[in-house]
Amino acid sequence: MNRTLLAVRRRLWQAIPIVLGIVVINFLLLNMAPGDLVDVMAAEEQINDPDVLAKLRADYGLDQLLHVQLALYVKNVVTLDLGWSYRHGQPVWDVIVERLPATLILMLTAMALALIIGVLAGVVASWKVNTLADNLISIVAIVFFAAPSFWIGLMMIVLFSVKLGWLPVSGMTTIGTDYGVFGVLWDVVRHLIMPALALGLFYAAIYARVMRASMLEVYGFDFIRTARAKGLSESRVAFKHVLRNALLPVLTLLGLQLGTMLAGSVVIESVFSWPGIGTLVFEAVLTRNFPLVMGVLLFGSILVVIANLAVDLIYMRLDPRIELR
Amino acid sequence: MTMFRTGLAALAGLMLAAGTAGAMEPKKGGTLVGVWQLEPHTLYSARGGGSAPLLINTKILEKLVRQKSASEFLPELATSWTVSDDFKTYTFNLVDTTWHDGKPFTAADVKYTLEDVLKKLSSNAVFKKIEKVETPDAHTAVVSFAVPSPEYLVLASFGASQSSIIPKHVYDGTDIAKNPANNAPVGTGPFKFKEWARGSHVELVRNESYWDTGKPYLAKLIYRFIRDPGARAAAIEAGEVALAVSNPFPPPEIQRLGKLDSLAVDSRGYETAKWQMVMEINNRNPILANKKVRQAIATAIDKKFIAETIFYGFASPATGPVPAEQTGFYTADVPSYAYDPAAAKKLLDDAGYPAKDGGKRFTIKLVASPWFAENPKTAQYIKQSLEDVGIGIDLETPDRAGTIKQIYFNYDFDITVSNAVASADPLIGTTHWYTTDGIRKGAAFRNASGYSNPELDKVVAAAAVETDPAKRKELLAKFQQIAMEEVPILHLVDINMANVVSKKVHNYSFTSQWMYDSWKDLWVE
Repeated sequence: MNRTLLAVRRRLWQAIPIVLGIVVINFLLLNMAPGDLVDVMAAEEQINDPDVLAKLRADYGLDQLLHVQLALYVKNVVTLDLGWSYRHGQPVWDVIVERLPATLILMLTAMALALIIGVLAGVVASWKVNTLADNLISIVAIVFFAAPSFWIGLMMIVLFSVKLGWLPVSGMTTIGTDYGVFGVLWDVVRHLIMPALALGLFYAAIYARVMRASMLEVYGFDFIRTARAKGLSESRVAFKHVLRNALLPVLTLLGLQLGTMLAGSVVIESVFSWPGIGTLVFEAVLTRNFPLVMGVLLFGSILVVIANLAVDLIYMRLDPRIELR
Repeated sequence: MTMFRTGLAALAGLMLAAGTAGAMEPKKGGTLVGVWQLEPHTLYSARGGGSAPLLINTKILEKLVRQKSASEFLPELATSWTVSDDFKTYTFNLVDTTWHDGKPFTAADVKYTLEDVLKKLSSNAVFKKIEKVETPDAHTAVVSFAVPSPEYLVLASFGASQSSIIPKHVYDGTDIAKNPANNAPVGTGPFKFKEWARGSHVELVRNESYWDTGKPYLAKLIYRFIRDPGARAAAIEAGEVALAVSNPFPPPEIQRLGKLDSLAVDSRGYETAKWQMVMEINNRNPILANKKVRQAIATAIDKKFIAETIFYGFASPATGPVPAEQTGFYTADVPSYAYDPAAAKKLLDDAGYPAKDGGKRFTIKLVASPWFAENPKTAQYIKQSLEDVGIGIDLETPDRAGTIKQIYFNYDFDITVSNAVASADPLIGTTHWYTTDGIRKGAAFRNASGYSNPELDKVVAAAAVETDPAKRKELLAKFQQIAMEEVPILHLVDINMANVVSKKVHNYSFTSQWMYDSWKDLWVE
């Protein structure tokens, strides 16, 4: 186990140059966009005095040369100072931390739903391979894979909120009411169902397809024949031997897709007015609030690095032959 | 000449109007949830800050007067007012009330807001002309202007959405832009700020000690922010929100919702805050500096098509910079350009730009702003129309910040599709699109065309100090005539904004910029 800890530490050290590289690339890419936050402010606030505009640019350091701005930003990030979000009148760190829990709840729920639905569907499809059930699962998976998630979200709203009235349209809680602790929890769950499904179904579709193929492959291996020869029951073979090995490719995908899921949550949060960092970063891009955008991207890159490390650790658990290096 | 209006008479008029509009007795209490698309970046900005902060803070803060219609004002913080014979001194008698934090509201707050906030920061030239504000007693404010100031222009400026009076004891001596009260405003209005849950909603509650006894009717007023138009429509259809203002959904969706039994569509309440779609024409381009070319462009575009097909009827063709709803200033007696592609071609031939091989005369750059969904669609239509008469178009549609930079800072365009708002008086929001002093590099929604005409400047300057309403109307008619003869900016359509409201909501849309009204009369079943 000591070797694993050492490896984890080494991986975390290796993450530092990666994250710094991401910071620099983000900075340069964002600064290629036309217009800066003072342009947006000038339009919103009807500031028409060129001197005031120049002073604002100086205040936000936008009058400096690009490489000076970059050096300053990297220096601040290293000291964990992510800058100031003028639109919120708060440090970027505070703004992100305030909105992060909502996004984490949404992403983790969506990921869990995607895994459960995807793996179950894949297992069933591989059991009943080439039957009606298998084909149905494939068709449904293709639909959710092909349909854009915002459209699925809107269709769910139309069906479950407008027509049937079962679930709330959007938001995270019912505003202007007080239900007590358990009431609030239930309220959040009711608000969470549709966005988590809309975000997760795309991934569930992928996992179902991958899981099915992977299960079928593992069923063909020699050790499965051995297990059956030992007289193990079919369900024990499926869950103890096949599933465990077949999960590896799904886990690989999961680690890779945490980043894209963050991007997907921008769209879903917009559709469902979910008060997370997805809507935050969308607005920040439109208003050229770059310190905030870079802060969110930094959080995102750290999240992906940690998630991949966690996936590697789970690999080891599922298949002891794999070692972390 | 001295004018005097008592608040009581005007109030009686209002109650009469409200009484006939809804025969039902107003009910006290209840919660109203309204919806808006974009979360504001702050709840108060001394410079206005755009629709979102104004929609919310006009319920918390109050103005001296309340604009009732294109010709009438009601008392708000000022119970009555008098104007001196030379139109340089305006005396306001103030209501006896307290701020939401319990401190008394006095003339010192009015003096502070006018002298230290609006005079310094407002883009409205009326405030720049304030010489001093005197406070002979706690409930009288005497405003002196450096020049004679037309009564309607002054009252319209004081009643504008950005002209709320703010508490001196909260703001004095601080950096106004960074004061924490900007995100938790302290006002005198019918509603108190309670909570802003970022990313979700703002909650206001009834001000129990409001000076207008018995009002407001609502116990709670909540604004939710839902960015996606489909989700917004679903929220109002499912009954989660009851009020959506200012064309909250795409026009076909508004028409569909209007057919439901539970909802009403109402386009009153925008008479003195009229959105317009405009085309700025860059006079710095030597081809476009030719008046005939600009007139040809005006002739080649079918405004009726834009109003009926792109806006589904939620717009009407514009006849000039002043919309017809501004009854005090509008004139139909202006040069007009009926849609006629053949005539447009002839004008271009006459201007010295005959069609070359391939039918093209010249190519220009069209920059379309993205803030209304109809803008890029209209730009597509304009591209087609102008190419039909031989003008090649390079169409660009940058995002919001990119558009502002390109049009108002870099002047990197030949023609645009953008928007203006016609306020209560042309001198507040309209003339600076045309005048020479309207050209300010980097300042958005002003004269970006680079048009400069001493004759027009003179007419506008005269209208700023002409105190006889009839003569002033003549001057502003002259302004409209020059604007339409020269067309440095082409007004395409006046947008007919609609409110979509639950039928359980009553007493809405009855003032001429109702979105920015205090909503103290609003009630729900």
